[in-house]
Amino acid sequence: MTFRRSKGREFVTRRLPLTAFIDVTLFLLLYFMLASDFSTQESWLDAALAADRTGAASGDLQPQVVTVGVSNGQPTFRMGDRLLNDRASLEGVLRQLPKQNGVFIKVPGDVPVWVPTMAIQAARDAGFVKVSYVPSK
Amino acid sequence: MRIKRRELAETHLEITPMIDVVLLLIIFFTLTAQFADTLKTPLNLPEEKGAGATEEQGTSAVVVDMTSDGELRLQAAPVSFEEFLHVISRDQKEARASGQPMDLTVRVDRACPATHLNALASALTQLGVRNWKLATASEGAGS
Repeated sequence: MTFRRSKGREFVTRRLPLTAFIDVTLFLLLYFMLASDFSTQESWLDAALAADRTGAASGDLQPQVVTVGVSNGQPTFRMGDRLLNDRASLEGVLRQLPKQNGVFIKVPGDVPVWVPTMAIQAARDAGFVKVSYVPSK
Repeated sequence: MRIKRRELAETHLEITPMIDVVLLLIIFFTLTAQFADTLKTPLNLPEEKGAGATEEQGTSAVVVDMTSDGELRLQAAPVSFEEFLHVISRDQKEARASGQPMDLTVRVDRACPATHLNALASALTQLGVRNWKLATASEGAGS
């Protein structure tokens, strides 16, 4: 008996070994999932350190001082006679001030740290380059 | 009976070395990331976007952590206020000698009363430190 093979074109299956690729991909996926849980995107706010010298302003210009506080769990920001109750208002007011002299963030001891940090951020967002942290007694 | 088959050379990519290298890289990065994490005290940092340039954040010369009750930690190890000031004083001298400003980052828990931070700020001012960085967590990310 004679075998006759079809004269059609022979198809050779060329397979890429995908198993290894899948292994590596799963490892990477696992790694990034775990890493994203543990790592936090941290940044920082630059602030100058200044001592509280109330009334010792030298020069013609009044220092621009923001005194931070907390009332009923909400941040308060006092600038002269104005009392601002939220960050957006503070940033809006700070935007209108001259920037060359910087701004002083006066921090009483009884406020949590997130409040002065919010004020520093608002000052930065308002365009101040020089922001000073002033510990207040 | 003789069957003539056209021999086709099987072409395949050598993936095994690549997998070896990738796995080694994964192990390396996993381990180094773990070591980096252990040097940071887990803190709830104030949620602010920060200086807006996290990519510019370099390695700070001194990073101190302050917990919510005002405890200071250097590389996750508790230090007393005096010990920390001693370290800062030494670094300040070295920075002056090299003509570079000292780079100090304070990672402070957002719930920490500012009285602790104020005490630190006052002491640092007396030592001649004029600038610091307050660490923040980008909004939406817990630390």
